Amino acid sequence: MKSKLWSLLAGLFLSLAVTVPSAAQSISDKIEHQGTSRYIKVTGLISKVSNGFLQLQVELNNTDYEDQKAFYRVKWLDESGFQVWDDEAWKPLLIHGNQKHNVQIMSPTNKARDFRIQFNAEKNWAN
Amino acid sequence: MKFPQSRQSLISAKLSALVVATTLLYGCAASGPTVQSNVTYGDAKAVEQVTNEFGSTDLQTIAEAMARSLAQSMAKEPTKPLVTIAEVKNKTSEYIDTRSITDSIRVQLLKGGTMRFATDIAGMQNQTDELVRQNQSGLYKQSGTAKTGKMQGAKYRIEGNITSIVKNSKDVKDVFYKFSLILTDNESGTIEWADEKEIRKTSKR
Repeated sequence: MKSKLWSLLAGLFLSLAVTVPSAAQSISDKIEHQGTSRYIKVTGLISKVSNGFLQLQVELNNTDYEDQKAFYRVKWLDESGFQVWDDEAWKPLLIHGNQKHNVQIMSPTNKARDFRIQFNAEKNWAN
Repeated sequence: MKFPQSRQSLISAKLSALVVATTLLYGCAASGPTVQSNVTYGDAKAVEQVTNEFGSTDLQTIAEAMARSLAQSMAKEPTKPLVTIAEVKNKTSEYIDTRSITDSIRVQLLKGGTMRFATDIAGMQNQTDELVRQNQSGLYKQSGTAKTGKMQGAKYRIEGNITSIVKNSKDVKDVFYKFSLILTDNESGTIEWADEKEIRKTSKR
């Protein structure tokens, strides 16, 4: 009886360990960090399709008390991962100290069904 | 210690050979499909922070923001609307080629496939010159020419302006740009879409 109980608990524990990817893991799949940002973290990412265009909202959190600068741009891809738009210009961002900042991004074409956000913080940890 | 003449000439010959060999090796190490010069190509998409005047990053950011906002708004139309670009006024104190901004917006909108563009005022002279050349010069086969009187009128026009507010102190110069764009229905005169993009650039002396 006891061994059955332990087996059941072990099975339950193993099933919990093999779960769907966490939210943090999904975000990291979509962000291409150029270096390890010291202070600015990507803490949220949601997407939706509106009028056939992919829309993103990225939440950035400045963990430092001072203003921090960063740069970003997006690679727009179709379902098969093929890039469907030219390289965009880099956009500058200023995030105030301890601020959570939402960046809203619209796709330029209705062919975009996937994306990768290239992110470059001004202050990175040395690699 | 003075060497005899023959040894001197031997040493200088060896030195010359060494110099020639070094030059040749350097030339090989620096090879590539370039002609050596003091010019370097940069990244056209990089953020430009040379001065706080209107720059390439501002042009790119504005064009992108306006084009995407307009494309999203016009995506609701059942067919691709025909649009023309009217004037974008420069109300700042510096020289800004607003035509370049609207050209970039037009390119992005055309590539995105959400609307069509009619010839604007700036392009009308070329358009009429071409029609006159094809129809009145007597050089073209009439069956293959573009006929006069068949141009399509735009349903909407895009117009706007860019303004700036400049503030100077002893240590800081702050420039605030605001680019506004509207889409007007040519028949009804109603404004169907409007958006603006604000940019602040601050420099310390």
